[in-house]
Amino acid sequence: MTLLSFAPSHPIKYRKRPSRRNLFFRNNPLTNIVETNDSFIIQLAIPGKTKEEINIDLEDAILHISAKGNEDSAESYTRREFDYSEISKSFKIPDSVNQAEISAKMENGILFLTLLKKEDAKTLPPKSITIK
Amino acid sequence: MRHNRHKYNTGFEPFTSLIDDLFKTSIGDIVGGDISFNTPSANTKETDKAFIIELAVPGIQKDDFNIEIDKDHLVVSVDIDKKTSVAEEDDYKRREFDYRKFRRSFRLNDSIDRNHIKATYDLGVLNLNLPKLGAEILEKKTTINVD
Repeated sequence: MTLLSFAPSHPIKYRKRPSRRNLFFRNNPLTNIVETNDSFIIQLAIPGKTKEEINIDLEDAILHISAKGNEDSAESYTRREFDYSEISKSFKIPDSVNQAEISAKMENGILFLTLLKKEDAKTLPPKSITIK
Repeated sequence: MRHNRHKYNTGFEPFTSLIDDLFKTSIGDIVGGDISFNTPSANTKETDKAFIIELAVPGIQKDDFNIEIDKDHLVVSVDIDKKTSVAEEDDYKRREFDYRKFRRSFRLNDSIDRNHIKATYDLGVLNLNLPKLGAEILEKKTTINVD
């Protein structure tokens, strides 16, 4: 899918493929969000970074995920569609989330953030009510 | 789509451009359409001894990769049965990436030693090392002294 045209006669010595990611998502990792009955799971695609390189802060109901970039020898690349640059992403946490119970794990380049819902925000299983 | 995405909208949000509300904005809402990225991004580089391909495929197990040489192409593919995934499709409120099924190929030039291509998977990046033919011979070259 090409959203913007790309000038093929790019002055850089190598032909750089138009990176869809860099056009829209530089510093902004791709995100999936899953909602279950009792939690939200945020998945951030952060390939190439270790868990030690990632900082997660929570302040005033805003969850902020950041990582410093590790710049490598960019010149030696013949094609560059992604990089390991700085990351910064923030989420506003809905009121239904219990802020004391946010957990994170890193697995194969994906940061999983699990946000548990407050008791009263959980979806209760259907139940039948008997008529007295 | 369920309509509870607006449930948490508290009205005026002055920082919408900076802060990504959990439900309100995905990049698809901004540029239009349902954008997601199912084809992994690749970097390539060349050293004296090899060509190196880095493929960003976060969230896959190394056994899920199929890496084959098909004529002049190195083909990397993943085809995971979507029914086996943990979350139900309906539970996704936003989906910007999904690498469970893709295929990407790279043309091999004649200078590549096809019998010694190596792959490693670390931190969500598949690293392919394609050694150049003759690199080993060059390495073993020793200087001969004239007696």
